[in-house]
Order: sequence, then C-alpha cells, then structure tokens
Amino acid sequence: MSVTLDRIVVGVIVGAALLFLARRMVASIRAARAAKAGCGTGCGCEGQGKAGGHSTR
Amino acid sequence: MTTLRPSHSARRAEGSSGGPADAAEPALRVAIIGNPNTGKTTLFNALTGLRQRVGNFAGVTVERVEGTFRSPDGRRVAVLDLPGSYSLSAGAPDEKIALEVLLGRDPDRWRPDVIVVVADAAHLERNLFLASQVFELGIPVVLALNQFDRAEAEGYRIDVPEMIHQLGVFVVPTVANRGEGLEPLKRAIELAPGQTPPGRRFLLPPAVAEALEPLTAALVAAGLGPAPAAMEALRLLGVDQVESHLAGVPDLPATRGRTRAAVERAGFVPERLESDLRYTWIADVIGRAVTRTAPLGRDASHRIDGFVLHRYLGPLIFILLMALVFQSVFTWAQPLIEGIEIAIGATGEAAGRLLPEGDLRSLVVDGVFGGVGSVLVFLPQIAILFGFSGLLEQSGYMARAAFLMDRVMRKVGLHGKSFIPMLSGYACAVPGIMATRTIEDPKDRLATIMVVPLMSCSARLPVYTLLIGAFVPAITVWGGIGLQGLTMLAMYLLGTLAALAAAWVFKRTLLKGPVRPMILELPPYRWPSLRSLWVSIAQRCFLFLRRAGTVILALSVVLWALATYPRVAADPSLPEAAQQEQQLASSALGQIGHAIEPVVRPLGYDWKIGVSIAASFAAREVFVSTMGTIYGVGGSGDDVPALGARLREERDPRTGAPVYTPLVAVGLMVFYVFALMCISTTAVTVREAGGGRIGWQWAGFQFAYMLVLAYGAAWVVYHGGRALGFGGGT
Repeated sequence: MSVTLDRIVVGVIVGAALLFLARRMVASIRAARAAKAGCGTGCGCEGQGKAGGHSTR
Repeated sequence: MTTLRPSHSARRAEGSSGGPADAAEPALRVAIIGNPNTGKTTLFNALTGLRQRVGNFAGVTVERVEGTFRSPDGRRVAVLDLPGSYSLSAGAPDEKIALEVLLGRDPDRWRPDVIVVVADAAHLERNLFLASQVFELGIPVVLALNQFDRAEAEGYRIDVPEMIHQLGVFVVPTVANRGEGLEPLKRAIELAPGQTPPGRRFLLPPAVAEALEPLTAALVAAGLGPAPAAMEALRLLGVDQVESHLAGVPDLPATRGRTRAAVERAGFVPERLESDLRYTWIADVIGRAVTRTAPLGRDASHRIDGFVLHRYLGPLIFILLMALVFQSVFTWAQPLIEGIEIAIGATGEAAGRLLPEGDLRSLVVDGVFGGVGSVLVFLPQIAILFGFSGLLEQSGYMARAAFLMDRVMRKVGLHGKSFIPMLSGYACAVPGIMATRTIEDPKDRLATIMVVPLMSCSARLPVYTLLIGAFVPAITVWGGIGLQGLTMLAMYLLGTLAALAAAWVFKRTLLKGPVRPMILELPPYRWPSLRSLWVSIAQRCFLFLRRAGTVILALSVVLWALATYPRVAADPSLPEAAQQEQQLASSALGQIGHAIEPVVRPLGYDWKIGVSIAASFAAREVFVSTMGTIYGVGGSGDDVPALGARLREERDPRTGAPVYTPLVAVGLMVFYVFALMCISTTAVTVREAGGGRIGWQWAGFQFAYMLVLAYGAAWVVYHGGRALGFGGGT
C-alpha cells in the first residue's frame, strides 16, 4: 500500500469516527431536551427492550 | 370547554418483538397492570418474547414498554407493560404513566381494548384493590392470578370458577416464570373484547351515590367516559390534592370540596370511604373463593429473615456477601481475562503482520487493539458481577438490603424508596435516575437524582480492575477474601457513603423537606430463574460489547490520531523507545496533555494520566482505552502486552522513579469514585430534573459538585498518603 493510500484510508476511518461521535453527542443533547418515552440518551441501557427505552430499576 | 380525552388514534408501536410483520396495525391492544412485584414484566416477557429486566422487588418497571404477540387465532396483539401500582392514583410519576394510559390520556399511547390485571395469587386481598378500580374503567378485563404455584404451596386454595362468578371477568391462573397458563391467558385476551366490562362490583350507599353525582358530571363534561369518571369521583374523595392529569377540569377543587362536605354530612369519612367500600367487597370475594389449608405459621422466608434482617447480624451478612462478590470478581475472572488478553494480543499481532508498515497498521494495532482490547478484557468481570447482582435481586435479597438501609436513608433525610434507584446506580446511573420516578416528593426525587451517579457503576469497573490488578497485591486477608476484593469493596462503599453524605447535605440545604416513612413489601425468597439470570448477564455483556464496539472504538480511533499526529522528525541517535516517546510527547495528544499537566500534577499524575482522564469525560472506560492507546503508540513493536504490566514498568524519564505507585493508583480510583464522567447521565439528569433551563442548571451543578469532590478527595489521598510516608510517584 502506498503511503498516500495509507493516509487516505486512515483519514476516512478517523473522519468516520469523528462523525459517529458528533452524532452521538447531538443525540444525547436531543434526548435531554425532548421528553420522550424511554431513555434515548444512547447510554447503552436502552437496548434491554425494543420499545421506547429501558425499564430497568 | 376543556376536553380531557386526547385522540385515541392507534399509534404504531415504537418497537416490538415481531420483526417486519409487526409493521401492521395490531388487531388488539392490551395493557398489563398490577401491584409492584407481581411478575407483570415476567408475564410480558413470556407473552412477547422480549427481554425486559425483571427483579424480585418493587419498582423495576418505571416506564411503559410495548411488545407484541400472536393470539391463538393468529391476530397481532400489542401489549403495553405498565409500571406497578397499588392503586390508580397519580402521586408518583410512574403511577401517573399507568393512570394516563388507562384513562386514554397519554397522547403517545393508545387506550387499551383489554386490560390484564396481574395479581399475586398469594396476596389477593391487597391486589384486588387495584383490580376493583380497573374494573370500573369501562374496559374488558382479564385477571391473571400469577405465582399460582406459590399460593398453592403456601396453602391457598383458590376457587377459580367462583372468582370468575364474583368478579365478572376471565380469571386465569398463571406461573409466568415457567410459562404456565400462557395459552389460556392468550385465549382469554382474545375473547375479552366481546365481554361486557365488569364495572363497579359493589353498591354505593344511596347518600354517597347522590353526593358524588356533581363531581362525576363535572368529569364527564370535561371529557372522561361515564365509567372512568365514576371511578375517579370516588377516588378523588381520598386524595390529598387533585393530580395534574385532572388539572384541566374546570372548578374541580371546589366541586370536590362540596362533594366531600356532602359525604361527611351523610355520616362517612371521605378520605376512608373508597378503601372501606373496596376492602369490604374484597373480603366478601375472598371469603367465598379462597380458603387456606396450611397453618399461618412462620414460613421459610420469615425464618431466613430472622437472620438476614437481624439488627446486628443483618449488616454483617450484607458486608460479607458484598466482599465475597467482589473477591469472586477477581478470582473467578482471572483465567478468563488472561485468555482474552492472549487472544487479543495474538489477533493484534496477526493483524499487524498482515498490514504493511505504516499509519494504518499503527491505527489497527495500537488504536483498535490497544484501545478497545484493553477494555474488552474486563468482559468476564462484568459477567460475574451482574451474575451475582441478578442472583441477589431475583432471590429477594435486594429488597432486604433496601430494608436494612432504610434506617440509614431516614437519617440522611432521604425517602426509603431512594435506595432502589441508588442500587440501580451500581449497574448504570441512567436507569437509576429513571427509577426515581417512583418517588412522589419532588425534593426527595431531585436529591436522589443528584446523588445516584456517586454509586459506582459498571463503567468504573474496568478502571478499578486495571488499577487494583496492577497495584494491589493478590494476598488473602481472611477466609478466602483477598486484599484486591476488599479494595474493590472499599471503592463501592466509598461511593455509597459519599452518596448518603451528599444527600444529607442536599436535604438540609437546597432541598429541605420532611422525612417520609417507607412502606416496603418484602417479597418471599425465590429460587432465581436460570433463564432470567442468563438473560440478565447476556444483556449486560451485550451492552458492554456494543459500547466497546461503538463509542469506545470511535474514541480510540480519534485518540490514536491525536497521539500520532503531527509527525515529527525523531532524533535517530536515540533508542527506538525514546524516539517513540519523543513522537508521543510532540503529538496533539501530548501537547494537550502537557497543557493540562499543571492541573493534574498536584494529584501526582503525569500528562498521560491527565489526558486519559480528560478523554474519559465522555465515558469512564475510555480512561483504560486511552491508556491502552497511549502505551500502544508509545511502545515499540507490534505486540500488545497487558496494560497493567506496562503501567507497573512506567518510569518518569526525568527522575527514573515509577510513575504509578499504589498511592497514585488509589488516588486515581478515588477520583473515579466521585467524578461524573458520563454524557448519558448528564443528559438524563437534564430531562428528569425538569428539562429546559432548570434541568440544565441541576445537571451542571451535579457535574460541578462531583468534579470538585473528586479533585479534592484525590488531592487529600495523594498528599495525605505522602505525609504518612507512602510512595508518591513522580
């Protein structure tokens, strides 16, 4: 793999990671603002049920 | 005119269990309600195939949750699992959720076609109170007598046909945790819409019926159906104040006041009238349909409670149990951890060999395997901790722990109900904060929200484990309990004590209010269901892996980039390790680290620890992955050695002294006990503390006070330790 291609692939991966984190951040802020059913914060706890967030203690 | 009835247009479930076919509108909509801890969620899971969390104590479900199943004739049935409630009141937020759905006042949910009331067959007297209220809502009802096997084992003989005759609804015995009675229940649900709603099963005294008419009429005029209005009118006589869901009814407080006066003139006590009428009817039903053959002597649960709830023995048993749990987390997980370390190391090396020399190889080996891999190795400990936690919850011991803690809770000014959200905080602060919905008093609720994140959650486990495993010797102290387990227990206790102390301060300053007593139902001890236990462990492991594969992976990649760029021309005369160190120090991460080093230096930390702490403000586990990335990038070669070993070997380049000492490690752990480093927790605090500006203010205050506490405590540990002669690192 050439150095340039190597750098491009790395750039794409890092860019995708940054985009993912930015979207998670926006989702968290939206969840804090909107009073919707369930958790919606993207904490990972919401995955225990499929409808409107978790019901854990 | 104000109308209370919202659009009842059916809304498609946000999610359900049945895949693409579920996109169709359901033919039937069913709500499940019942007293807390009657097995509603177990029944919901059994019906829908979903995996909602269950526990053997009250208050597990605080949110409505939806799923679907197919009825025996193949129709799609949508099911709503509502929070447990002793009566149809709207005092606490979770009770309000249930009442609004059943009255058709929840704009986000449909009104059910059928209500399934889940009753604990061994405690029918209490459970039928809620059932009798539900009967009056004008909706067909099915009564599930759950835990029927336990009721029989305790000597109850329930004449089901007589119950059907007395109640006027389908009555189905079930044992939800074994899946018994599900088919008859599904059949009853299918047939129920064709049945007449049961309505009120007792007669009001004529003078009371007359007195209630204006109140009922006012509720009907505001949009409630005649049946729910009649139920609400009787219920409103006994509540302290009109709840918010009826705030739109014109002149309701005045109408209610006149009705109460009329009831009083008729010779009744308004506050007691509803409960007197309902319990008289319930006693009659039970007298006809239930007999008890076994003596009412102390059963096994009572005998066990003699020890477990003993004034002195109880707390001792609690501490010993916790110490055993934490020790097992180390002892049992070790071989598995070593196995995962070897597997990750080998995979990382193999990936390194496949890729050509360059940045991509460094990203994969140092960023992904070094970062995510260093977090993944803690999977066995997560599984063991949640296995024990599930065992204690399902057996009924956690309710005893809440009972033991009640005295302490009252001393700090918190409601006894606050202990359940705090216990939940051991898993994750987000559901813990949501569980505060069971607390009626807003000040008690807010005080609990403010302290729940001090309970050590599972995200702190990798940090504790890494540091304890690396710096606390694995020696046995007493009876199989080792120093590592005790150190872990100390961290959990420290968080708990800090939460109690903070609550004490809040309840005496910003959130002053009276201490309210707690009525706690102690469920009988049960053998945990292996399936539920497995589900609980598998879910936690899945969440951990998902988090590692998403947020932690993305952060590791970004941190790798920060630790790698900009590239500098290293001094070729230096050894390879020193060149790597020079590159790391010149990277963006190194520059950020050096910029924040003056802030963390008073705590005994170098820039690498400082930058790892800064990165972990997004999520605590990121501390470990950042360390993994830093030491991966800073190390030479493609091997991914155990992070703990790397930390023990780390030396200050200026002095040659170890960077990490047991004192630094303890200080770091104490920092993580107190600091709020979780975006999700902040987001949920904003919402649950009232939303909007108020919510943000409370969340900001929570973050700030915990950060000050963390920094102060870590400073005291470090400088106190040095003053006492312990090694202080760099």
